[in-house]
Amino acid sequence: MQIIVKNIAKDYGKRLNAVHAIKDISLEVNKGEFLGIMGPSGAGKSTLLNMISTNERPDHGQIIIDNIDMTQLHDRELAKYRRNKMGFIYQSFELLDSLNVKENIILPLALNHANKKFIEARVKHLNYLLNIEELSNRNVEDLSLGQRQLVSAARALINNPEILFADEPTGSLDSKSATVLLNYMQVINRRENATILMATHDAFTASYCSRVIFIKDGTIFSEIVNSGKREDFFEQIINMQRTIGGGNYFNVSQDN
Amino acid sequence: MYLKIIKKSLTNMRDSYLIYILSCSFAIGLFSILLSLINNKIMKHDVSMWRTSLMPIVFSLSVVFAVSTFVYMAYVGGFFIKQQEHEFLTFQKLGMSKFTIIVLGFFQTLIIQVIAWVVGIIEALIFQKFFGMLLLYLMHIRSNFTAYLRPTSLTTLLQIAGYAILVFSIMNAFRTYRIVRTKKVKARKINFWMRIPAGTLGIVLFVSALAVVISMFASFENLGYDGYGDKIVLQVIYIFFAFFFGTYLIYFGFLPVLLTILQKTKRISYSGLNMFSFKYLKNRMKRNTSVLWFVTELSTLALMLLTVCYFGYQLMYDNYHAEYPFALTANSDTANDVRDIINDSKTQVKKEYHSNIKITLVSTLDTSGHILVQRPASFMSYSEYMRLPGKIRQNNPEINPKQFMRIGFGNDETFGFSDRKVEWNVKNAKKITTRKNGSSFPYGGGMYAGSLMIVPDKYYHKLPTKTTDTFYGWYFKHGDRLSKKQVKDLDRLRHAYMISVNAKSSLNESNFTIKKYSSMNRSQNDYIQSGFVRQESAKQHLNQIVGFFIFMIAIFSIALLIALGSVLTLRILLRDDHEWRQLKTLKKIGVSNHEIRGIVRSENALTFIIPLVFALMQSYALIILADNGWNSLRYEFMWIFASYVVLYGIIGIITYLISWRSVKRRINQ
Repeated sequence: MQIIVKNIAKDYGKRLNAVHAIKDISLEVNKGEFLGIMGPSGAGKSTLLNMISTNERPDHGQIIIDNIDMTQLHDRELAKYRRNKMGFIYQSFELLDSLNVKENIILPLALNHANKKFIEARVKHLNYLLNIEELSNRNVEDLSLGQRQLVSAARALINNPEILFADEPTGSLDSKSATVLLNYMQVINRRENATILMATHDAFTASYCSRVIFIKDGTIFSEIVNSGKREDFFEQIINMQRTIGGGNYFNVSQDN
Repeated sequence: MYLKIIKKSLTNMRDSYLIYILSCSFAIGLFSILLSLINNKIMKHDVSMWRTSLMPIVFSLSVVFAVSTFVYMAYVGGFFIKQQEHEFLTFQKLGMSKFTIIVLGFFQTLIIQVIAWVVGIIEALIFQKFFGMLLLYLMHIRSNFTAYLRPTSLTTLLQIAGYAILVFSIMNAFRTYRIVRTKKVKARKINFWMRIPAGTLGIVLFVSALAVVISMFASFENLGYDGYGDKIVLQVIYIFFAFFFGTYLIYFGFLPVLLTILQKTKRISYSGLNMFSFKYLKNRMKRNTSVLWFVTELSTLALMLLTVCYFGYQLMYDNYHAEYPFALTANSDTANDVRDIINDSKTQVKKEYHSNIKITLVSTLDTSGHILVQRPASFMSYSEYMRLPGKIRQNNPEINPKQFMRIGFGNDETFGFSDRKVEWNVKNAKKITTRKNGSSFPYGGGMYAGSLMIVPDKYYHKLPTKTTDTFYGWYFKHGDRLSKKQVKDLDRLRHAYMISVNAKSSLNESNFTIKKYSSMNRSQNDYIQSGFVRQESAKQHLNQIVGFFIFMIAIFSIALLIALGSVLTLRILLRDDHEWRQLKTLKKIGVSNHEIRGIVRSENALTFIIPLVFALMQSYALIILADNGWNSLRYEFMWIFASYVVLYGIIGIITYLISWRSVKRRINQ
């Protein structure tokens, strides 16, 4: 078991205005698993992802990754761990506008003071894998949304992460770009054996996962495991969305 | 709703607003204090010079202070509107009318200005007494200061406040209008390739200015400081021009280019956060070019002014000690009367000195160096000179029993003493040539009708003149305690006699006579011998003037330091949304707080250290240039330099702490 989450909870705000974003969640993720986290807006998907990715600390509970209790580590050690073992893809891409495409991609390796030759080799490999060679010297603001997300994915993968976190990665993309990105993510998951945790409220996106957990009001409501056939898995997800009663919040209508 | 928006904006930028309000209120407070001092009854009554000379100076300085404060408040006030550009545009997109957004900008500024003025006036009311007492203390006046703000002064102050608040609010409303207006003037993007020649030119100008300073300095030494020719004036103009524009071009071109080169050098940039830091700092530098330049040049000016003021202060004191080496001096004609006055008073004599002098005619070259002028001069023997207290001699060059030394007035001597060659033709005596020049007259400059020559004893005894005099000098035990009546009696002895010169074509044929002093029958060839010189009267004036200027310079320096420091601080704190987002993104992709803190630290260092270094280089070069003999100012400059660096350093550290606090808050949100 690569990730073990034990009874974590997180509140935002103070006293009377406090919001219980995550109430009591326990979860286990295997190495190489592609886990989807679904739920209506405000259910706590991003908060859960941020806590597992160590960007936020839980108020209670434990997060154990590779047998290390992340809640016990110092901020500096957490940052180092994130940088070495994790990659991130966000809905808003989180690219640095002041750097060009190549510079954005290599930033995690530069932060680790990696060898120049190694950096160049990795960039070449990812450019080939994600088919973004011609974007290398362009500015971020000159890219389409789909291209930005691919660059964001390249940056997430440059340090060969063991765990990839994706928060609504297809949220800003059209269906074609979303499909391209998801296919790449699946390739990475299979070829590199990277564990992927992806928060989404889109059933189609979630259908690429091997398992999906559903969160409602800060707790895990249920989970579905992909049996192998994506169309069936998609149907299961849609049904679960209906059950959960979050149709209004999901991008799937009640009539489906 | 609108109130909520204003409240939210004020809360979001609370650190920056607090700094702005504090600096503005400090300036307003000082301005109010200066205004109240002008008409203060105690100052008018107890400070003799107040009405005649100091009050107009305070008034002029108040005007200067008010103008500077206005410029500062107007300029820095605009930072906050610029900061909210994105927010205002969002309001506009959401359907808020332009007029409403402009009103928001207006009222936001109005609230801040009202707070700043109220705090400033309250500060003035509270600290008026303290500043008044400080001024009296510095001026050595033993009087109890009473805080007083005339109703008319208060009304004037409130009127100024009202107008200023309105003007600043309208200015910011106009700035808001420029943000939301439909037709926008496109900001011209400066081509990077333009920065390379500009930066190169900047470096060339700056380095060439330094080179010209060094070459001028060398030429001064070789020429023996023989005046300023046209070439030197041109060189000085070039130096000012080159420093002024060179610095701007360095900020505009050289530093961004340097950061770009560093960023493009993979060996350096592919390591840690360098790649991001160089680009981030470059963008920040491009945005703040004018501010950094403005701060650099004002710092240079401040450092130069401080040094020059200190130099002036030192000069005055040196002059004072040279002019008044004894508490009281007299000549042979007035000595008995002066002694009687002292004996009648409460003044206790600590020690009495006397020295004999001879007076005869000499001919010397005038200041143009071409015309020989005949005039009386005094001579003192080496032995008599050496019997005087050491502290009188310490400001003159050392001589041996066989050497001559001229003690006189003149520019060279004012700056210490020089080795200029002096030639005296002495009536019926051997010509004197010497390179020993002093400025400290035994018994004070006021006691001599012309220059004084210290001569070997043998020369003195051989000097053929019948006119001799004896000077007396007294030191007092517990200071000068002469009553007003005694001072009046002493005043009658002011002029002892006149030396009337009858010049002929040959010096040896010329003669002079001693006449009784008469202001009516005085001609151009008559030289007056003073009857006495009293230190106390000069001392009071000196203390008052020096105290007054120390007070004013301190106030201006502190205000300037706070103004410049706060401008830099606010430029650092007021990052735009894009810059905030970048720091937050770094955090998300695994950059630790410690590393982001490093960027904030570099930014602070770059913003504070570079202007300071440039300012110190420029002011140091210009000061040594102005001073000629730079050794005399080097020590003082080091002190001022160190104080300035320390004070700036403190502001820099505080800025860094506040900046990091706000960054931490934002990236952890």
